[in-house]
Amino acid sequence: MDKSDFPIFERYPDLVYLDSAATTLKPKKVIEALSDFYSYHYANVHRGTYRLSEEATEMFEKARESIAHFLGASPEQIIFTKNATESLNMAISFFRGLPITISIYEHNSVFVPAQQYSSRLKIIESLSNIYHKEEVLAITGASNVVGKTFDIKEARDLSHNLIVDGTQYVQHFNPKNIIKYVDFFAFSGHKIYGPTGIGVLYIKDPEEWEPLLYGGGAVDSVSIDMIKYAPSPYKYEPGTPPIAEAWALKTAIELIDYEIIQEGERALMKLMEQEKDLLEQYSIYPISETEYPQLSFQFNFLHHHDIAHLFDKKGNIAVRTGFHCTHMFHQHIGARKGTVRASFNPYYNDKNDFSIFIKTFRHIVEEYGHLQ
Amino acid sequence: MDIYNEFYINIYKNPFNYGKIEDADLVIETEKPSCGDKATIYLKINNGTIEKASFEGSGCVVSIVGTSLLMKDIEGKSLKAVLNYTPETLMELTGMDLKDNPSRIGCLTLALDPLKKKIRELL
Repeated sequence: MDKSDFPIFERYPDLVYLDSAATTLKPKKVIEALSDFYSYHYANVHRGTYRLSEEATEMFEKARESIAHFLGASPEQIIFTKNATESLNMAISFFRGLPITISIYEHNSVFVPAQQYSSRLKIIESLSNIYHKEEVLAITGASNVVGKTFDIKEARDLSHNLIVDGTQYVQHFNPKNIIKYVDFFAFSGHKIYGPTGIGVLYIKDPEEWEPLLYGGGAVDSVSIDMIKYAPSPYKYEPGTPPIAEAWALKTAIELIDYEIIQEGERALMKLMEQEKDLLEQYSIYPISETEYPQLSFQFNFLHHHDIAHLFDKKGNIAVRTGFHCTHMFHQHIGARKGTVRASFNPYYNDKNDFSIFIKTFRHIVEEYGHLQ
Repeated sequence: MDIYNEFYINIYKNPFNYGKIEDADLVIETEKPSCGDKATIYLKINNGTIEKASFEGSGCVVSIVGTSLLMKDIEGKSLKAVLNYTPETLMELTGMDLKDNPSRIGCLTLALDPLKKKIRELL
């Protein structure tokens, strides 16, 4: 897979897309898989005793098997949700009324459910802040703001129940590396080249928990005063699931090659290292400690909206601004007005994109830096 | 017009109608938590007419220029007249063409929306 596999560049050949942490662009094959499924294989799944429904069910379950294989898990451990936020809400809801520990780097999709469901919320900056095994630790595998990972093997040793937000992690690292350490692992389809509208929650012991959502398709039998849930994963998936999206997500993960990702990211980080003198003046995290090509900047001379607008106007560069759903982290580092994030992608950002980014970056600093 | 040209940057650095009116009849605070923009609007009103308008606060170039030129423009106008102002009025007033950037229109109307809301409550 390379830049030519992404049709958006046919319309915008000069687009420098540095917003993959928000969502990755879509490869042609994924778009075709979605269209093909809706065009020629579509029916609702489960209990349709006709060939088309059986075919759709088979494809849907094949997608689940493929995603299980991608994680190094079994199909009954794979729950389809609408996105990582729903996956994380579900996992955290299992621990309502208990103390929950999270890191300062957490996205609001971990922070807010933990704040709402826990009896006491503890926030740590680093795993070294944990002295006694935590009852529940909910932590990101890789930050969505800066290029920082957490050591999930170490987190395993420091917690009884470990929930990992793998949303950014899967874009950069093979989830098979860490799945054996976690109890729950969540990610979204659209951040690894798949469609929107589908998320995944891996549950290590799927029969152990009560579902978060109730409804049709999730029960074996029900009467006025009794319910018997269907086995996992179905008990967690009431209502019509994201059927075509699951099929397209299968296509997406089959296109991913972590060796190519690692090689591409190393090349991008080498370029960052070469421009360290410039970038480090504005980066909120040390370039030398950055583990994947994602940087966030604080420019005190102009508002982040203005900076992003300038990147767009002067370089056709798409960056993201604001708090990146990590208000707590921004408060912690004193970036009360938000930051500008550039997240590079090994498949469609090349050396040329990086030069345009640096040229525009330098131009903005030279032209407007005096406003400080 | 390029919204980052010298004209706007100068207003951003030294906005018109900036500062507090000590004996203001109306003080309105506005904030956009999603982007950190903040402003306090001060109005001196006489018989339904805005005699003096000013603001204090911080934000992006669009919100500061929009708020500054709005304050300048509403001086001498009736409160009722301000109700007729729209985002298009502000685009015309500032010369900022944000049709391709609808997300920035909220910056431009940082002061206008709460101002109109308050006037509606009063009238």
